[in-house]
Parts: sequence; C-alpha cells; structure tokens
Amino acid sequence: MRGKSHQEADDASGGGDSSQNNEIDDADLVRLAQGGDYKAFDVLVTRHRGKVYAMVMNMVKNDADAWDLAQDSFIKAWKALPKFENRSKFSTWLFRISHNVVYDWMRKKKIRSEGELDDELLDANRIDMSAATAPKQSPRPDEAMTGNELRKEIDEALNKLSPHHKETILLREVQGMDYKEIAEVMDCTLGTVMSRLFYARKKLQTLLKS
Amino acid sequence: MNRPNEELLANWLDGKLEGDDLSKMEAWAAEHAGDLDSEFKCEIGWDALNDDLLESVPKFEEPPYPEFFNSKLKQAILADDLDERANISSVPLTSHSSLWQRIRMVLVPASLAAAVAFYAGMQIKNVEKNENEVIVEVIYVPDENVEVAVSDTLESTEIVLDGLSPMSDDFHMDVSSVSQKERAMTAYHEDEGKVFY
Repeated sequence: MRGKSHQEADDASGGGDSSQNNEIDDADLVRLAQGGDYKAFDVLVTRHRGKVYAMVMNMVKNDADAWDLAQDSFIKAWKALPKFENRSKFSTWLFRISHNVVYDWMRKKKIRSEGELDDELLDANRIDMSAATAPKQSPRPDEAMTGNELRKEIDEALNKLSPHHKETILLREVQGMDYKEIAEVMDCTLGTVMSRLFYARKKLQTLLKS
Repeated sequence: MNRPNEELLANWLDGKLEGDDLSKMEAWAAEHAGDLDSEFKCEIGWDALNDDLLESVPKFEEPPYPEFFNSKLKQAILADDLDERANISSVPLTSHSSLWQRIRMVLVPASLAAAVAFYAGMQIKNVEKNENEVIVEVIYVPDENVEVAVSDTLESTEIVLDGLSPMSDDFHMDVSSVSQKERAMTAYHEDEGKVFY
C-alpha cells in the first residue's frame, strides 16, 4: 500500500494539463506515482498503453484478450511500482510485466485447451503451406501484392514462429529495443536473444519466400 | 577477447556454450552486439524484409476506447486498495487478478451455489414427482479448503473451484435439474480436481 492516499491523485486529476504532462519524463512520473500520486500513474498509462496494447495484440491476436491483458499489465505495474528502482527504463520494466502476463495467459490457455479440439488448429492460416496435402495458394502472376496482402502474409508468417521467436523479433524490429533490454524483458541471456533473432529472421524469411 | 571464430559463434547461437566460454562470449557480445547482428542480417539479406515488417506490424496502437481503458484501470486499482484496506479474509480466495476482486466478491456466492448444484447430483436423493421435476433433499457444502478463482474476458466468465475431491468411478451425475446452458458450460476435470463453469 502506498504512503499517500488516492486523494492526491483525485486532486491532481482536476488540474491536469496534457502539454505539461508531456514534458515530465517517465522517471519523474514514476517517482510521483511511487509516492501514491495516481494522476502521475495515469499519465504513464496514457503514454505507454498504445505500445503495450500493440505488443500484446501482436502476440495474442485477439483484441478483447489484448485489452484485458494490457489492463492486467498496468494493474500489476501499479502494485509493483514501490519495488521499481529506476535502474531500467520504465517502458522496459513495463514490457517485462506484460511479457509475464502474456506468457501466464498462454500457459493457462494451453492447459485448458489440452484434450479439447482447438479451433486454431483448423485455422487455414496456421497450416503449413509447404505440406504436401495443403492446397497451393500462389498469387496470380499479374497480381501485385497490395499493402493489405503484405500485412496478411507477414502476419501469417509471424504466427508460425514460436512465441519466443515472435516476441524477440517484435521487440527488436518493431519496438526498436536494444539487445540488453530484450534480454531483460524476456529474462534470458544476450546469447539467447541473438540466437532467437537469428533463427526467427531466417525462418520468417523462409516462410515469406515460400 | 578477440572476435570469436565461426564455430564458437555457431555454438553460442545454438546454446551449446557453457561456463567460461559462455561468460567470455557473452561479455564480447555485449560490446559488439550491434555489429554482430548487422552481420547476421546481412548474411540472410534481411533489410528489405525489415521494411515490410515495419510497414505491416504496428508499433503503437491505442486500445479500443482508450479513455475507458484508463477509467476502468483506475476503478480496478481503487477497488483493490479498498479490498486491501478492508482486509477481507473470511473467504479463502486464490491470489488473482485484482481487476476481478470486486466481481468475484459477487461471484463467489454464486459459484458456491453452482458447486452445490453440481455436487447435489452426487449426494441428493431424488424424488421424482413427474418427468422433469427434481427435489433436492440434501444440500452439499464444499470443504473449507475449496478455493475459488474467477477470471473474465469480454466473451466469457470462468469460475474455477480448486480442491474438490475426485469423483468416484461409479459416480452418476443426475443433471436433469440443471439447465441446458449450465450443462453445456460445466466441465469437471478429474485429474486437476477442478470444476470449470
């Protein structure tokens, strides 16, 4: 429990100024939030919810689940905020929390679906297109790939990667994190990050070429 | 450490290095991660694909109803604080997402009632007045150590009762008093000793 009450947050919410909020950096907002200032935390939420939601959405591919999991991530962040020591960036720490939330959710989902018919297995997008029994879906030669088609193909290819490979590549290439940050988020060594990146890129490229 | 040879690099990427070799390699890679990654990308001709990836996958996407996202979050956190302050300890609940703290306070009695309905099938003496009517003569009360966890998505609500005794092999559940919907949504997982609603 924080030392100060939510009264402060409520007081602050009355006089909020978004342009002022944008000038305050994360570290200062974190310090205020650690002191119980909910308004400061709310600014952090507004600032980071788009990145967290996008990352979670890219992982779980379901907007309702992504919404709930992003909520859960911020709730856990608020609870764990007193322990946050500002040694890493707030965004990295937040991604680490959402990483755990997503993997917990995937683990529970897997346990629950064991023994049941998983509709996702029947999703044509998840069928290995190189399999002998799979119908060939080559685009007509005269069809140029539009933006939507490209997005769909990349989406499908990403979904065929393992969650670890997919997450590593999203954190690096899409979120632009450095290797150490990725290792921190995913709680693994630098070598594991480099390895996952290497093999994920290779596999993604193979999938898209085929 | 000088640049490691290809074999050492390959072993490192495959997670085959241990002990001193691994420590040295990690220390070297920490200094040269960017260069090394550029080499890897060049090796497989990644750059063109990276542009497509950046075009196709959003880095930033506001959740639907972003203002509601914040207000819902605040509600959940405030409710959680109130719960902590009230120090409610009468019902042994599993530690679960605080978002559902308040909801489960409502759903716990409901889930216990559902447990009663489920176990009543095992322990009741049915007196059939007509084809469809069943009178419950014995009410089952779950053990104290049965734990209730509630999780919710926009699509469904899941209530898990953990710690129920396993069903015996000769058990026959009379579900004639349970509605079709309840039947469809109830599953007993014997291995886990849990009932899922």
